[in-house]
Amino acid sequence: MNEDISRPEVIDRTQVRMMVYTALMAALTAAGAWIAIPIGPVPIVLQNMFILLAGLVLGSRWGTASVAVYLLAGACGLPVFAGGMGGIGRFVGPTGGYLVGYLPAVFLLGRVSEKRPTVLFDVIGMILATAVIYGVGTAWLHALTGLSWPKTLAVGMIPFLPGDAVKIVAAAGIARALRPIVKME
Amino acid sequence: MSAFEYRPGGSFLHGLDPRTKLAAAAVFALVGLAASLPVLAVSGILIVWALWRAGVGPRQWVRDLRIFWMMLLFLFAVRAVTGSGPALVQVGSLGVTAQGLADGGMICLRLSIVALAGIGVSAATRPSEIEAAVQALLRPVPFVPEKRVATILGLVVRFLPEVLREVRLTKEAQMARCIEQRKNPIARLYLFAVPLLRRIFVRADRLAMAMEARCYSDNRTGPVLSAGLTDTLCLLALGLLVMLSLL
Repeated sequence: MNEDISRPEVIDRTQVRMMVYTALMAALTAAGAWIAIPIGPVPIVLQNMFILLAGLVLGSRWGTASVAVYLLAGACGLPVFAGGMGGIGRFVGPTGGYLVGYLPAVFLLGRVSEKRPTVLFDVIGMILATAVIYGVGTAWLHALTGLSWPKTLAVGMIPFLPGDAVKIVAAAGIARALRPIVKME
Repeated sequence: MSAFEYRPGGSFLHGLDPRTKLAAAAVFALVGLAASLPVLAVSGILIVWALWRAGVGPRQWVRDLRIFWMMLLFLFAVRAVTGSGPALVQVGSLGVTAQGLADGGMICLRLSIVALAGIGVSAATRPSEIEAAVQALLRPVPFVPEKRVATILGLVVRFLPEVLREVRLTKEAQMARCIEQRKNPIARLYLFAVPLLRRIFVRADRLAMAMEARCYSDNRTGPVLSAGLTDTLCLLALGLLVMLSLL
């Protein structure tokens, strides 16, 4: 008897909803590579903010799953990474470390936020997550390009910190507005 | 149509099983990391030929990957002036060395190969085929629910154009209300993201309800994948490339 025609096991409501939210946050993260809000002379790309929101709104488990699916989509060649690129090659490129760093960052953020979902804990979690992303990202950039550490930090972290501060403060407010809409139960 | 989008066709690349194409992209990533110049050159020629046959010519990938090429140019310039040896040309206090130029050229070639291999997958593989291939490739991985992961991946592909459409509509609505004139960057981000996310999450709720109403299950009939002789030969060639890269 073909096992594919056996009685299907229906997935419960919460699981289906969380699967859809996970896909949605992954799609938002992908779209974030193309969304730039001009703040002064520099446009802010929203990809990092959606990564942080995935951890805040979906929690550690589903938030990490969302980032993992996003990375998987990119690895499969779908054009979801910055610059509309895709392909497993992005992981070995100069920005590969930042992409890989998203996974532990979102997990950590989710754990901190789940502990106590207050604005203070959200902001602390996002600062830690950002530190993890830059830690992994700049270490990889340093190893790949052979640049000295001061130069690596100068091109791979310092210019982005003001924009990240804006995103962290905005994401704390957005997460507060969004949590009642995202029905986890 | 961009180089990243699927384009229908009957080329050699289109005819390959999607699992073979994913394996090829992974192998070229390894080649890009570890291979010597002759192996890199052969790989580069093969990829450019396959892309050209699939309808993605150099003009297209040069145009669509311009951000990537700019990044490579930056990397090349940095390596050119940080190499050891006597300076060929002096630019201010920085000297361009032969070793630096060689190192910069190699790193650009390596990264170009992995990026172009990724384009080969997305340009010649339907999203549904990618979903099925991912499901097949994840099947042996323990603790990974491959059907669920593949379904979520399919939903990402479905959501992406909708999200981009909602982004455009939200931006237009903001402009109509002169929100982009506000000086406070945090307020602008908040006023952009909250209505956007609210609308998108409501839509996601509707989709989740529709899936529940249809008794969504992991046990569904997926697309059938079949690998032929060409795929076997390709995998053998890829194995040879890996061996040459590791030597």
